[in-house]
Amino acid sequence: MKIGYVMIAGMLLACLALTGCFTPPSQGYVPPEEMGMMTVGLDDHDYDLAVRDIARKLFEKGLPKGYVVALGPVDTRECPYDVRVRQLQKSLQVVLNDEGTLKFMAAIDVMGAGGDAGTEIYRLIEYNWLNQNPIDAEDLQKFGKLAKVNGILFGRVSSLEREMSRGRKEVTYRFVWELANTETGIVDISHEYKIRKNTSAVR
Amino acid sequence: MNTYSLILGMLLIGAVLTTGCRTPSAGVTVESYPHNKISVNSKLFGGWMTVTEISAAKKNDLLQAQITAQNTATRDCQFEYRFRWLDKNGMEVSTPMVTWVQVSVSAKEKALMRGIAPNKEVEDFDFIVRFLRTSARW
Repeated sequence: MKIGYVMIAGMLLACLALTGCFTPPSQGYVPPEEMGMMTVGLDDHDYDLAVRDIARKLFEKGLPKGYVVALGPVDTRECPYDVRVRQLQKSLQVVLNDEGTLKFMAAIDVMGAGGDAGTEIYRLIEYNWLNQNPIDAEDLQKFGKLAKVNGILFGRVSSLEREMSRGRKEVTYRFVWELANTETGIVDISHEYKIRKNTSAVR
Repeated sequence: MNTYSLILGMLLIGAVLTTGCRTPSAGVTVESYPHNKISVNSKLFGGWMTVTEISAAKKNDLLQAQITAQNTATRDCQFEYRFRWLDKNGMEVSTPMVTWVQVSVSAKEKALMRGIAPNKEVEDFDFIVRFLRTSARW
């Protein structure tokens, strides 16, 4: 009889320990580089992955020392989910600042340096990018001289989603980056990064 | 005698399960200093994924590392990895580029994991791999 109780107690203990595996962490603070809570929308970890990827591409390219990159327009109209462009810009700015040889700023911040003429040309460049028109090399060169930047990084974030069984959803985000050289007027880097998420991936 | 063995066995199982769940440690680590060193911290992970190649080279003065791991099991494996970058004094170089990256490898497939140092001061790296699911980490 006693052995029976001990066995039941032991089984209960084992069950409790097993369920303990699925409980959230006991501490309030978790390392920020962890994936954390997942959603099908873009979450904080996705921004880290996207920034890490484009930064890696820029480093691999080996841009000359002192090269100033301005983050130009990021077209998010083909993505119904919220895309925090400013967060992308600021994270990328921090990464490139750490690297040391590259300088980075948001184009909107350098517009003032280019004066009214710079602002006008930037608006034209932005309009062309957002409407998927070819970027005029002359506009790029003029803006580069006025704002003293060597390259403009254009971005496009789009998403495709599909319904899965049991009402689940899968979303593919596509980040397309193009670094246009403001001296030559041509695209130095063209890069794409994809993140695919589904609701069943929530841990 | 039998009763004691049973109690002891039960307690042992409980203890193993409890500690296993509460220590989400690295399954396998690779250190590049003073020479390439692979540590298998989890026999479960080590038996599943094997590090087969470590390559490091400088490109544009930035250290690039590539780790090749083979899924030796006959099942798909989901894991995550990250690099930790160190300067010549062994001090960690803090960067937002250090983040866990999720990978899914099919049975018997190789995974190539690549990282690039965030600046020129980086001389060495630590590479950590672990299971994606916290409940599977030991």
